[in-house]
Amino acid sequence: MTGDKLVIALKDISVALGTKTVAGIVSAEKTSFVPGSRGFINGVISLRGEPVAVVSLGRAFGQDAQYGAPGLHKIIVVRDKARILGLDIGSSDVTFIWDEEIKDAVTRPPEMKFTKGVIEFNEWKLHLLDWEGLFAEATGMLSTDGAHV
Amino acid sequence: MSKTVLIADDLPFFRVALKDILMKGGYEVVGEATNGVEAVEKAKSLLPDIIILDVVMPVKTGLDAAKEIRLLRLQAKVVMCSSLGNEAIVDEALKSGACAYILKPLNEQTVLSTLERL
Amino acid sequence: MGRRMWGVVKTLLPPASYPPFSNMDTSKYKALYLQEAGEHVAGIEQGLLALEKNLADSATVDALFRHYHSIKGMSASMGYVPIQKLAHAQEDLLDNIRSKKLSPAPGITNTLFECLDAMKGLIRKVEEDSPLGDDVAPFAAKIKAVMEAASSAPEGGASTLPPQAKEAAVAQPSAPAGIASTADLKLSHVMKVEGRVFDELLSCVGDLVMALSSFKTLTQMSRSVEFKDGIHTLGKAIAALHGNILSARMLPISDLTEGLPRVIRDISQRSGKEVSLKIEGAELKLDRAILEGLGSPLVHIIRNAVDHGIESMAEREKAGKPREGTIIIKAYRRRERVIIEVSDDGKGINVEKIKKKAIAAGIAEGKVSSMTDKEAWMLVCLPGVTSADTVTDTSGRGVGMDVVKGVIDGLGGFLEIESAPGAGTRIILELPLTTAIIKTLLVAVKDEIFLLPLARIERVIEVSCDSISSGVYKYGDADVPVVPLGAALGMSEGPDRDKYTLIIVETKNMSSRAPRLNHSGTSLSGEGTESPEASGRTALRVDAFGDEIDAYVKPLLPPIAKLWGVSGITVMGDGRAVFLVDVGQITSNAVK
Repeated sequence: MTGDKLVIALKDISVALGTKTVAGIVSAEKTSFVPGSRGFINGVISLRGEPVAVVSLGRAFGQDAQYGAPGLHKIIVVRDKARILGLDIGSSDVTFIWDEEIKDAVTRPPEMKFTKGVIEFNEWKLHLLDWEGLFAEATGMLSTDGAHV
Repeated sequence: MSKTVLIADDLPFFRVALKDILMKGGYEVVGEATNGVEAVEKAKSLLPDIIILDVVMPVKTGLDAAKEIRLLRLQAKVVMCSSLGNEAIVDEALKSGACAYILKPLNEQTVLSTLERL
Repeated sequence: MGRRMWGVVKTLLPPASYPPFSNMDTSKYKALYLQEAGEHVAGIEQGLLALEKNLADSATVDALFRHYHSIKGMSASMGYVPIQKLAHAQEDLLDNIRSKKLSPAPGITNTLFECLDAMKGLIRKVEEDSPLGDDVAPFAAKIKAVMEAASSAPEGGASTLPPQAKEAAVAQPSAPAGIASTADLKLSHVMKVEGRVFDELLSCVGDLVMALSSFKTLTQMSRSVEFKDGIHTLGKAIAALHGNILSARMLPISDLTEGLPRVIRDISQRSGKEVSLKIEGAELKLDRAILEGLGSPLVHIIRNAVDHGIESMAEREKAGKPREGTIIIKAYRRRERVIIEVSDDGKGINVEKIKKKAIAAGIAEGKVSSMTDKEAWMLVCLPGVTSADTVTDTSGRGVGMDVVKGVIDGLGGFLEIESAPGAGTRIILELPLTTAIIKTLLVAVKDEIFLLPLARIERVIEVSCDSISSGVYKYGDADVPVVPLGAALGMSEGPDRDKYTLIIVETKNMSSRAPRLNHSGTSLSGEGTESPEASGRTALRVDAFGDEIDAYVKPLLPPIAKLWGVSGITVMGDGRAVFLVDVGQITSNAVK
């Protein structure tokens, strides 16, 4: 779990994400409605001409209220070779932690869904985000097989 | 069951053309070879009903391949194919074990009627 | 099996006037010819250079011989007689060198180079579609002269040419000026390009189109004439680029249907039936992506027709039909769409049986029993419903038509079924000619915007909320059902409005315009009264409508790959992501 991390301070927890997977951070007032969306699906935006499905990170971690609020939302777009996903973090703050700072920290097993481990660092508990897991869950939620003739 | 055919010609052009004709005639092209050595190998492994060999091919000519195929005592009927239209080659082809001889340019009716008569 | 084939051999010798590839489309092979001839010419060039430097071993000479031989054979097949003759003369010369009757003296290689240039010129003419009227006799004569000169030369003196041969070899070619002997480097006009390149090109043009649309918005606000002019010119260039790329991607339907006679032959043989296939309109061209996607649905439909549509020969005779069943594939254009109909003259779909199967598959009985025939035929597209009596090797396992419909929907087309008991079944596929950039209309529901394909829109009407309060809209003589687009896509209802916009769209029912299948006088028209849905229109209710937009529609990828009610997404000039509504799916809701 090495490499520089981007840290998102959600209401009660801090979530960390490898900076290499971050394709961009977008501010959006509004995302486009996704037909049949539910759960933590938040809409669609575009990044450099490419459509990106957005999930609400707060809602994915069971924190409801503030992330549906109007106003500018920060959306962190993550991608790998095959997948691209937007993480709506509402108005949460974002900081960075460099690899040197955490290279001696111990990584422990995950404590909650959509995370793949915990790093303790200066009494700071960072949950490593499993965005691939989020992506898979969103794909399942948005599949409407057999819903029509 | 449609008859299976192995085509051996070094030119993709003729393989494509011949395949088109054979498909129209209801034959199944099970393999293609680009030289005589490949043709003999594929004849052994694919056991086609018919083998169409071009005379002029690199590595091993169609005539030599036909001779080798005859020695293998396969069931396959060998048809030679070339644009060399002279009698000497035809004679040599038949001695090599060919049952028939197709002349290029390929003509759909002639090719199919030749194969029918095998 | 006798080896006496002399009789046959004699009949095999083609008369001189034999048409090359008779009954075959030579143009199909032209690209292949040009490509391969080019490779052989390059090979000859290398071989001659080696020969000239005395570096040629017997393998090089063999290869050279084969290059000439190949060009000769292919040219003969294509009917390019001058090239064939020229290659033949050179091949003869090479054969003499190969069999050591001749040694490659400078005069000989020079002649061969000259002839090669002439051959290149002729091949270029093939490429340019100019007539090959050139007389190659002077070149052939020259080759003959060097050959004769060499063979009449004393033993060991083959490398020195007698004066008259030298003259012949060095003499300026008396060939008509038509044969270009230019030595400049030329590349083929025909290129083999991977299909993927076109996909990327198209994607780039799509981005250009979307960028252009944001500039167009800016020009409306700008007073600069130069700016407006510039954008106009840019727009024209992008449109031309787009058109060229699209036409490069177009392939004739025949590319797909060529393999079908074989498929039919195999399936019908297995099922002990005789089936003939007729194809009309195979020259029509479609985008390769669409054509590619059409492959397996077409085979599926044909398998169904042979296995379950066309009766056994005994049954057919009893019914007074010809023993041999017929499948007709008919392709034609209707506006910007292509219609492909696959009809058989079999027994048709048994509506009662299909209805029973649909109920068994879990569709509400009340719904099924009130269905018109037209609606009932579409039931075969439900997963698990098949008209098959028996499961065969090739079809009737209950997967099939649902998959076919899914593929056609995915290609932006729609599928319709017509059937008449005893007379046959017709599957009608309507497909877009091209993918990717389509004309759309922008519509708004609450603060969301969507795109509707313009091809499906019949009219746009603004109405007061009262006139549609009953759920139908009186359009001409017909009551057209009103479907609120927002609700259909799962949006929450907005506040009531005084005015709405209705988008009248054509639904799947195209049969009212399509020519009808008519075997032995039996019409395929459905019986009984037609329901409003069957009238072929639905009114989509939206709040407002906006501009017409050329939208570059991208496919939906995970996690939004399988959304209901939309078939693609586009990114507008302002960066907004907008879904393209799948009108077919939204309006098919009635069948659900």
